[in-house]
Amino acid sequence: MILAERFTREMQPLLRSSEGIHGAVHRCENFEEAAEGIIRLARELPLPKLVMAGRRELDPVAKALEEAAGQGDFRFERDRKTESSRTFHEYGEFDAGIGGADILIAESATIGLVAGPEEARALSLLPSTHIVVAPVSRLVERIHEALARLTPLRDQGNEPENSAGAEEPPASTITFITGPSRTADIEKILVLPAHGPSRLYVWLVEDR
Amino acid sequence: MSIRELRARIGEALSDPTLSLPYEKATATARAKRAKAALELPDFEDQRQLAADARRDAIDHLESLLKLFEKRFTRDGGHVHHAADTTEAQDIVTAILRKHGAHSVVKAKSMLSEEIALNEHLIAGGHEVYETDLGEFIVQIAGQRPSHITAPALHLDRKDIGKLFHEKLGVDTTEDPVELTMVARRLLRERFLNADAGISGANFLIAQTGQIVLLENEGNIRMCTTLPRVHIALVGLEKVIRSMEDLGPLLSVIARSATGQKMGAYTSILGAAGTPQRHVVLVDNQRRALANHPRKRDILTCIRCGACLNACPVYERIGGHTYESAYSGPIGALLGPHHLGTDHGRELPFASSLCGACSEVCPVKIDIPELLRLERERYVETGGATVAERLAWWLWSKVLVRPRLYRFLARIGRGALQGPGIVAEGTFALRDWTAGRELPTPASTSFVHQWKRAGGATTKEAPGWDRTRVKKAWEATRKARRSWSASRRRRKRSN
Repeated sequence: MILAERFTREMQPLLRSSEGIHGAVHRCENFEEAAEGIIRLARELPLPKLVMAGRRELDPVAKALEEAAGQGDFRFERDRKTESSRTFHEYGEFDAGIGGADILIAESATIGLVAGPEEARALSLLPSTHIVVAPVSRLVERIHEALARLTPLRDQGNEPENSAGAEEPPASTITFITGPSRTADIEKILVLPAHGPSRLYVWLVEDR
Repeated sequence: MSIRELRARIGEALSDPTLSLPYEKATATARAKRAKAALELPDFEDQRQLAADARRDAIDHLESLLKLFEKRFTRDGGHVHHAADTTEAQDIVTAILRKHGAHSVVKAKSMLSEEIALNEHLIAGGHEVYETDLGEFIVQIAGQRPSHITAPALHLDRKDIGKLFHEKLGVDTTEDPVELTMVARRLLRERFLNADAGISGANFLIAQTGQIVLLENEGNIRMCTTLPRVHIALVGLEKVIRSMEDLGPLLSVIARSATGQKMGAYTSILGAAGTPQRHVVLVDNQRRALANHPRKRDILTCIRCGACLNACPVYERIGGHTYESAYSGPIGALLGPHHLGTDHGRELPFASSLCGACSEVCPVKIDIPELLRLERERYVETGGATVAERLAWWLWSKVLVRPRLYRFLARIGRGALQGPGIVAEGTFALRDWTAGRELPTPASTSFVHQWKRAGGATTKEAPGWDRTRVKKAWEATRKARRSWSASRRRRKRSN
């Protein structure tokens, strides 16, 4: 699939620094295969403490990770599906946060997340490794397509002025992530990471 | 402040042989990256036009869009405050912090907070304020001000920063950018987690959805707007845009123009619902007055990407601090006369060669040289020109409309300037010109004289001779002279 190839290719330069390689994009056939990859990664890097978002679509990944964690190579915890249940301090103590993506932009290798109970914002921010598992059908080519898909019609200006405002859902908080955290504030030399995650791994799951 | 003082500052900057080195290196890299990024996007110019249109539409409908933003943002549980000037903005921020019992503040990069000197105000009020953008963090502990809109510590090299960290933070001296960054990361991570409030700027406010858009690479903005229990966004009221649809092209051009990236590492589009509690402080500080000016309103469409700084041959040589303003470079020279970022920026439009490199790269197509020229005009109209300058133009206008007198004086001038070219400490009146270049020796006789001698046709005999055209030009000159004299009389009377 062309968009997935583009996404993978565009991500490569974002993962390089003078210190080495800061992540990877993998393509796989199903969620179980993604889980195997994550387990291997957690053992190799290593990532002793993992936390995963409550997103329902990640249930098969969670199941495999729980089983693997039973063997004692790493600890695995999952957020509740309806509310984020941890303090920011606690999120910071995990080595990796595993989450999904609500949209993927091929042209810039960007991951789009809509904040909500299914995935806490801190999960992709405080642990030093961010792992994303997402179906390829969420790929679009350009940023404007992503914005259009993530914005409900009401927010696109189609709301009649006299409608019952109180019942509308509030505007959401959206985060676009393009590569690991970076800075070039010292002599314009690229350094990864600055304040956010140092490594970014993406598993693109075929779903069509 | 006068042009004379600006020239003195520029002279000082130019006499320091090392000052321009980091600027030249950084801006050359940035220019190359921007050019590559613009080429790589096949419809970059289309996106640029859409972005420019979106910003102009926003300034055309400023009040209604601000109202709409406020309605949406407050409906979702956010708070919107209005500040007419610096003092009001400072007081509003202090009041919000007091209400939330917030003592320690983590701050993301905000040019507006430089404009209103917020840090000084908060620290004087007993708050702990930590800049968290690496460049701003460095500049803060050095006790300086940013030297570039998007690269605040551009003027310091790794040796300076290593020494600074050693002295101020007590860490081992190192010149490794990676280690220096990790020192800041560890220190600031603690501060993020323990801060009571986060203060940020905003790149855009989306009116139709009531969202704040923030762009960054480091992750400190996400920290400042997620972890503390209250978030205050300080926003110049011109930053509003109409819709999510308008955001697309703006995002397509802003990172490419600033750093040559397709997208910055993090783009946050924040709604008001949920935690933390969000406050937007809309700051006017002369912006509404600018919005009402038929042409200068274009200045407000600026999205602060810094591309014009990177393109500017003057900025590159004199550095960011010579502008003595929160905003430097071409855009700083446009904002200065309107008291944005400085109280004495009237002369800044003269820190330009009007070469136009800035407007070629501006992602929202601001005609910067033309606007600089307008600001220069205002400077002169409001009495900025010296007596000698006014006298010189007055004399020139008298001479120019008297051909015989002109020819006579030209002959004297040619005679006086014969001999070797006048260099360096040349004649009094020409000193500013000859300080940097040689004034060539003029020909000993006039062009018309030589033309005649060579057998060329003179005006009266030339086939293209058109009496009415010459008459028209002559009348235009007289008219210009009359209006100049009239405006001078008016000025005299008003004084």
